[in-house]
This record gives sequence, structure tokens and C-alpha cells, in this order.
Amino acid sequence: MILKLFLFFISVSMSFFLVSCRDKDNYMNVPEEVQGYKPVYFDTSQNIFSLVYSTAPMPVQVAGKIYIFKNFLFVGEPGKGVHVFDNIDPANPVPVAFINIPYNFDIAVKDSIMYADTYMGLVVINISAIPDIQVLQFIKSLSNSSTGTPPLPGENTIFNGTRRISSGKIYFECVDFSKGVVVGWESATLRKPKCYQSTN
Amino acid sequence: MNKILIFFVLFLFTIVACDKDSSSPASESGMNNNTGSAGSMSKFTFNGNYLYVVQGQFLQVYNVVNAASPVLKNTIDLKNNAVETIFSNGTNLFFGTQNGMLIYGLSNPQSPDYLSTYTHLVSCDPVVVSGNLAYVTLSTGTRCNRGNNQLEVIDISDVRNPVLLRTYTSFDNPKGMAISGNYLYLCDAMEGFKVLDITDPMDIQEKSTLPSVIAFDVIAKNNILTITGKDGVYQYDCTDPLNLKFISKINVQ
Repeated sequence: MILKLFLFFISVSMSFFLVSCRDKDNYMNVPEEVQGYKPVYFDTSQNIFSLVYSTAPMPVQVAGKIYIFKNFLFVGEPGKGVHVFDNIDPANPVPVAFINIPYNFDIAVKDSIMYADTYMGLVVINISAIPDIQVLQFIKSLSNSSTGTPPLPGENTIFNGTRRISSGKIYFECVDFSKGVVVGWESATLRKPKCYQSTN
Repeated sequence: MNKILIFFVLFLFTIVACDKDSSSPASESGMNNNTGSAGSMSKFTFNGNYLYVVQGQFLQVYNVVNAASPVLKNTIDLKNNAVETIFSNGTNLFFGTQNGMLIYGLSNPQSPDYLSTYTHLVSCDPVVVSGNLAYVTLSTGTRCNRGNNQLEVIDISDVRNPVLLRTYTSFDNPKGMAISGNYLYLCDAMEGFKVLDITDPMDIQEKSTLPSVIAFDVIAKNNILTITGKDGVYQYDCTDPLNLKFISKINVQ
């Protein structure tokens, strides 16, 4: 009997793992307030050229992929853009600029021309006069799939150093697709989130 | 006495020295100083006048002979919706996917041709290649939790028939890698950053660990390791791979 109850409990639990969104917020002891993720939307009606620009250096929040071109060290801010450092003295990398590129995870540089992935394609940027940049081209390619769930540790290089999470649930704000496509996720304090996904 | 000491120090430099021609996946394969270097987790790589970009299950081939005016020349369906990384050794492209390694030939760089698939358990992560050997890490990201945490050494002397030589399982959650000379630098997540002697691929030796460097990718270039991870971006001098020297760190905030 106990075994049956246990199996029943396990199978009920398993069924929760199969779905990532729950409509009822009181379903499984949803905390009043919990750390989780909220979606970053991209309004596809915007012009990509107006969204790619350089700003003064900003603190690195999440260190994504790295890239080296001549004396420059590039540190990705996953989903948001690239931090540029003058690394002529590796003992003292000096922040030069932040290049804002929505939905960017990867870059490559040839002859001071940067290629960066972004939503729906590749953006081509002249960085020869960094911190000033010039957006040369946007090459539209295949559409990215918009995700309805946040990245898990290790995915899309967003790395929080967490060893395989055993607590079971990652809460997130449910996606409202009327706001655009989801191009990334950021940490947030959520109030009674209705969505979560299970990690194990 | 002093002369002997100087001689000894010089001797030490000749046997250590982290090779400038590292196999960190990068421009090196393109033999072009005007291209940069990426880590092993990259989805972009150059080869000659071409830029290869992994997007979803597709490989896009751009002609970048005129860097400022790239031209999309080809889109190839890799028939695998879980491609995570790309590496070029100049003659082939190697893709790290969630279920194995794909090898494409570059005899026609504008139209890479499928050669083979090396299949492993469902797992995440990249591949780096040095000579006739490919090194693949498998790690259990949460999306890939059926996988194992291990390093595989694969003989690719016949790129149409890659053969597993040996599997090393003494790792926690291995991710990005870079090879320089006889050393493989491995980001082993919470277990730290590891230096492995790969002189004998059948008997890889773990030489040292930086336990506090929780990292997921590394570039080895010009005797410097650039390492990205949880707490920021580290640079270490690897002139002596057995005695990495801290240079600097860019903190995350």
C-alpha cells in the first residue's frame, strides 16, 4: 500500500515535470516571492539598426563567451551585447565600450569588422574606431525560434555556476507573446509566478 | 655556479613554453592574422575567406573576402537541431552537438560536405581537434541530464570513420577546452580549471587545478589563457603550463 502511494506520488510528480506552465498559482505551494527569471522581449517591428549601438563601458553582469582580436578582448553579455576591453596590458584590461546588440551570443572579427548574431540574422559592424562603431549591414537569415521557457544553466552559455540544481523548480514569468518575441531572460524577483520548469 | 643556474633556467624554458600555435578554435586555422580567436563554445569560425555560422540546425557560409561586405553563399541543413559548437582545423569542420560530433569536409569551402557522425550519449558540449585526435567533453547540463560527465578522445585520422580511443570519467562537469602543445586546458565547472598533460592520449594525466576558477570556456593564445566563467574573466600566463600565473581578472558585478 505504502509502495503504491509512493508510486502514485512519483507519477504525479513526474507529470508535473512534463509541463512547464501551470495556470493555477496555488497549485504547488508557489512561493509568495521567489527568485526566478522574466522574459526579455524584442519587438520585431523595431529597426535593428537603431538597436545596435555603443555606449560607455558597463559592468559585466554575466560573463558569456569570450573573443580576442588583436589587443582587444570581447566579453559577451549573453542576449544583450558585448563588452570591449583594451587588453594591450593583460594585467590591466581597460573597458572601452559596451556594444548593445539584442539577442547576441556569438561574435567573430576579421579586419576590424565584427560579425554578431542577433534576432533573425547577422549584424555587420565596423569597430575600427571603437568606441565609435558603424553598423554596416544586417543580413537577415533564418528565424530564431522563440522560446517559452528560460534558459537552464549551461544553455545559451548563460552560466550561473550552479551545480545541477536539485531543488527541482526554476520559476519564471509566463511568456506573453503579444509583447513580441522572447530574446532572452533575466533574473528577477517574482511574485507568485505561474510558470516554472523542473530541472530534474 | 651562476652559469649553471642560467643554463638550467634556459633549459626549463625550452621544455615548457606554451605553444603559440595553439589549437584553440580560432582563426589559426584560417592562417590569417586579421581574424580573431574564439573559445571552444563558439558558434562562429573562420576558414580562409569564409565565415561559418551555426544557427539552429543550419550552417551558414558567408564569403568574407571583403570583410565589410559579407555575402551569404550557402545554407546547409545539418539535420541536427542541437548543434552547440563549431571548430575548424583548416581541412574539416567539427560540430559539437547534443548527441555527437559531426564532421564536414572543406575541400570546397563554400559548400562543406558531410563526412561522418560520431555518436555519443545525449549530452552537451564542444569539440577541439589537434592533429589526428578530437577531444570531446560531455557534460550534464540540465537540458542534457541523461548524459555523462566525461572527456572522450577520438581518432579522426579517417574523418569518415571516427573511432573512440578512450573515455575519461574523472570529471565533474567538463565544458570548454583549449589545446596548446601537449596540454589540454579544461573548464570543469565547479571542480575548477584543470591542466591535463595529453602527451599520451591513452594516458592523459591531470597535472594541476585552479579550484576557484569556475569556468565554462577558455582561449589559449600567445602564452595567455583567457578564461570565462561564473565570477568573471581571468587571464593566466601559461608559459609554464605546470605553473599557471595569475595576470588579471575582470569581475562580474
